[in-house]
Parts: sequence; structure tokens; C-alpha cells
Amino acid sequence: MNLFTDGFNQALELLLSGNNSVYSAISATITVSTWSLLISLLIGLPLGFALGYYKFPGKSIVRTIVDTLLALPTVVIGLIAYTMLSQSGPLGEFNLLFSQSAIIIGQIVLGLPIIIALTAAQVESVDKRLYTSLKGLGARPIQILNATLIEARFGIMTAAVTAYGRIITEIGISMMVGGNIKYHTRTVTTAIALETGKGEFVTGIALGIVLFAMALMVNISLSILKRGWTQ
Amino acid sequence: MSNLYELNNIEQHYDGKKVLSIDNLTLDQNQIIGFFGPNGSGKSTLFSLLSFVSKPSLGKIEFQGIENKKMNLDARQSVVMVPQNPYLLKRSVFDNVAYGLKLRNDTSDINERVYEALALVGLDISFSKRKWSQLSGGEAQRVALAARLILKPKVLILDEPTAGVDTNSAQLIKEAVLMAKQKWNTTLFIASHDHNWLNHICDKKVALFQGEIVESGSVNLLFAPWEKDSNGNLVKVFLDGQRLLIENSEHKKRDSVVMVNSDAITLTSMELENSLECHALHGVVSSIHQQQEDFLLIETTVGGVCLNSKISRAEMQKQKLLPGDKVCVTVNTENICYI
Repeated sequence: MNLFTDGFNQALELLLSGNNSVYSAISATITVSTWSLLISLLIGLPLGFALGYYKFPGKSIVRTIVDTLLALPTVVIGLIAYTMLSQSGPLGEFNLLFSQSAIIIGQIVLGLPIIIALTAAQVESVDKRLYTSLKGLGARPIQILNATLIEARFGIMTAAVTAYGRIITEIGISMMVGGNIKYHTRTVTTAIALETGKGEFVTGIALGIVLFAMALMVNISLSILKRGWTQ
Repeated sequence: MSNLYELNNIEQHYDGKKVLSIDNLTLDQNQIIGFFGPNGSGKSTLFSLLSFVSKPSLGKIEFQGIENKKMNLDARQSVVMVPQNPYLLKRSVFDNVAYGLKLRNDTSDINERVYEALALVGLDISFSKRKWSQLSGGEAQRVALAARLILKPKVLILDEPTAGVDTNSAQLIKEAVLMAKQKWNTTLFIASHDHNWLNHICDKKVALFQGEIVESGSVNLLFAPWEKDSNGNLVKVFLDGQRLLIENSEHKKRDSVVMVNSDAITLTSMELENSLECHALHGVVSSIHQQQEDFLLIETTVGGVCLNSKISRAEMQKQKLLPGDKVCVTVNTENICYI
């Protein structure tokens, strides 16, 4: 129990003292996870809409593949990203390995299936009368996509939160393609792994509490937003 | 009067099953055309084709002489539909009513136009701030109609607009659609089970059954169940026990649907004919509508079933029939059709 209370106290101390390495890890975590979530949403929302909305040959196969990718271990994604970005890999010439961009690429691979699968599920569950009503009003396909995504906004927000939760808590990708470089690619999760490895459990718990607080803040903000929309 | 729509060799299939088949149908502009038929007869499918919500599996639809594949957006957007149980966006009433204008990038004086549209369906300005979830079924239907009326459409298609709404809402909807016709010369296509309303307002009626047009005009459909008499002929037994025998129907099944044209039904006032001598059905006149200049359409209730009969104005004047009058209803069973 002391570990937790000490960890909590130290977390406050670390945050209040403005510890550079802690703030650098928090900043790196927020930067890479925000970029990877935004890009995942940008790519995933139209793809998820298309998967949930249209009927096409092989749809069930695509659906199964996307659902399977949900369970892809982060360390495997990290390994694949490492192979692609290393000097001998197809993207080696861009020199992205051990950079924040490399982590973002890996995290997009992690977040994308979540956004696609959950958006598709939400679009499928949207009332079928919506399409008839919108078409009956003379809406064009892009306007139908827009309106459908807005109608499914609560479910899509849940998809975004789920993806964000998975992205900020992953360690395999950040460790393998980020390299855990202090003040550069060290994220909160890789810092926790490092501190725990050094036997600094209290610091590890303190960083864990910081991570939890970040996730909590995102969820509270979205919950307030959701309440504003429904009232 | 010119053709607005022309449908040729139309077929619509869902999951390989044919749900609509129309060889030829012409619909004129500036008219109110009523579509009726039992549930599953293809009314909603036909409406989704006429409103360009879906494309036919086979055949050609021409709107104002242009094939639907070659039509521009303006022509498509001049046709709007209120589907059965319309969907309201999860937004305020104002946003729902204004949505069609926003789709068309036509947002000048939007507030005034929304309030005006709401007033047309009998809703107060204060309704505009309500959320979609705070509306009753009748109010939601009126908001959906306001969202179409605001567009001043060339064609307004209404799929059972008064089904499942309270009497007050139904009346306001009926008044609003007639106003659209008067104010903007909107062509109206209305599907409804309210035959009385359709008889009252429609210039033309189209009957659908099992995905096919059975008659454009005033027809009566007599549905199963049928009984068989000792000779094997079909007998329709009405709720009040009256019986209608269909001669020479030995080979027809008990689930047959019988179509009787309105001019195959004649009415005779009980005052003119001794009721004891009336061997036909007994009915009560429920409404009288003008169909053409020289003809009237009389709706008579026989044992809970409404029958329409076409009578000349001269005959009507002779018989002096009024709603509520008891009449002898004779059905000429020689000219009936089986569906």
C-alpha cells in the first residue's frame, strides 16, 4: 500500500517541481498520441463509413480482417514498423527510425483498425430511415456521409476514445521504433518500463498515475461534450 | 396538362425477389394523385423510385422528358418525399426544418422561412428550439413535412402521412399539403389507407396490388377470406352477416382478391325501392365526391367495408342521395377481375 501512497505523493512532487524528464515524457506522449489519433480519424472515418454503409463483394472478408487487426499485439506492430523503417527496409531512406514520426506511424497502424471497425459498427447501427429521409430531401452522397457521421457522433466519439486509450497506453511500438531516447522519444509508458527496470517502482507508479490522469481528463472532456449535445 | 413522369417496363428486385413491376405509368403535373393498396403492395417502393431515392432494377423512368440517369441535381432536388415514419436528425427542430435549405446552399432569411414553414403545419415558433427527442409522433411528422414545405418543391411525395398520428395532426397535415398545391402548384403523390381523404382531394387514384398497378381510377378491392357455397362459388360474408355471391367462381381459391370497378356497383335509394324487396346488399352512403364533371363517386359502407360507385349527376339528382342515406347496393359480378 505504501508504494501507491508514496507513488501518488511523488507524482504530485514530480509534477509540481516541474521535473524536465517527466514533462518531456508527458509532452512526447501527448504529441505522438494526438497526431496518431488525428491521422487515424482522418483515414479511418471515411473507410469505416464505407465499410458500414456500402454493400460490396468481399465485405465480410474485409470486416473479418479489420476485426482481427483489433487484436494485433503492439509489439508485433512495432516489429513490422521497425522492419519497414530500418535502413534495409522499404522506408529506410526517410531516416524515420527512433523518431517521434516513427512512433506516430506505428500508432496509426494500431489506432486505424479500431476507428474503422467501431465507425463501421456505428454506421451500420444508424437508423435505416436516415438514408431514405436524406435522399428524399435531395442530399448528395457527400452530404449523406457528413450527416450520417454526425448522427453517429456519440458512437464515433466512443471509437475515438477507445483508440486514444489504446494508443497512449501502448509501449511495444514506442519502445521498438522510438528507442526510448530521453527528451526526444521517451513517452510516459517507456519511462515507466525504464524506471521499473531500474527498481524505481515509486517513480514508475508516479508516472502511471500521470498516465491515468491524462486518460481521465480526455474522458471527462468528452463526457461534458456529449452531455452538451444531448441536452 | 403535360406528362411529369413516364415509367416504362419498370421492375424492382430486392434480394432476387420482384417487388414491383410496372409496364407503363404516366403521371401528370399539377395534380394530386392518390396511391392505395394493401401493405406490401409496392407503394413505398414506387415512391422511392419516383423520389429518386433508389434506382429501378430494370426499366426507364423519365422526369419532365429526361431519363433519370441524365437528370441534373436541380431536377432531382425539385422532388422531395416524406417517407413513412420519417427520420428526424438528432438536432433541434430548427436545424431539422432548415436542413434541406442548407443542403441547397440557400440560407437567405433562413429564420423567417423556418418559422413560416412551422406555421404552415400548425407549429409555434417556440417549437424551433425543441430537440428531436422532445416531440410526439404527430409533431415529428409535422416537422418532417415542414422540412419539405420550406423547399417549395415541384413534386411532394407523401407516404402515408397521416398514419399513426392524432386527429389534430392529421388534419393539419391534410391542410398543409393542400396549401402546397394551391400556393406553389406542387404536384402531390399521396399513399394512404384513408380512402375518404383520397377520394376527396385526388384528381386521380392508382391502385397497387402485389407490386403491380391493377387500375388507375376508382376500383374496389375485395380481400380474402372467402367462403364457398354449395356449388363451390365464392361468397363474401360481411361483418353484419350480409353475403355477396360471386357467380361462376367455382375454380377460384378462398384467398383470391376480387377487383370490382366503381361503375359495376349501382346504388338505389331505399326510399325508391321497398327495402323488403331489395335482394342486393344493404349499405349506408358515407361520402359523395365529384370525380368528373358529369359523374360523382359515392362511398358506401356495407358491413364495415367501403365500396365506391360511380354515378352520373343526372342519376344522383333523380335519387337525391345524401350521406347517411340507406341504399341498396347491387354488384354486377359479371365484370369483376381476379388478382
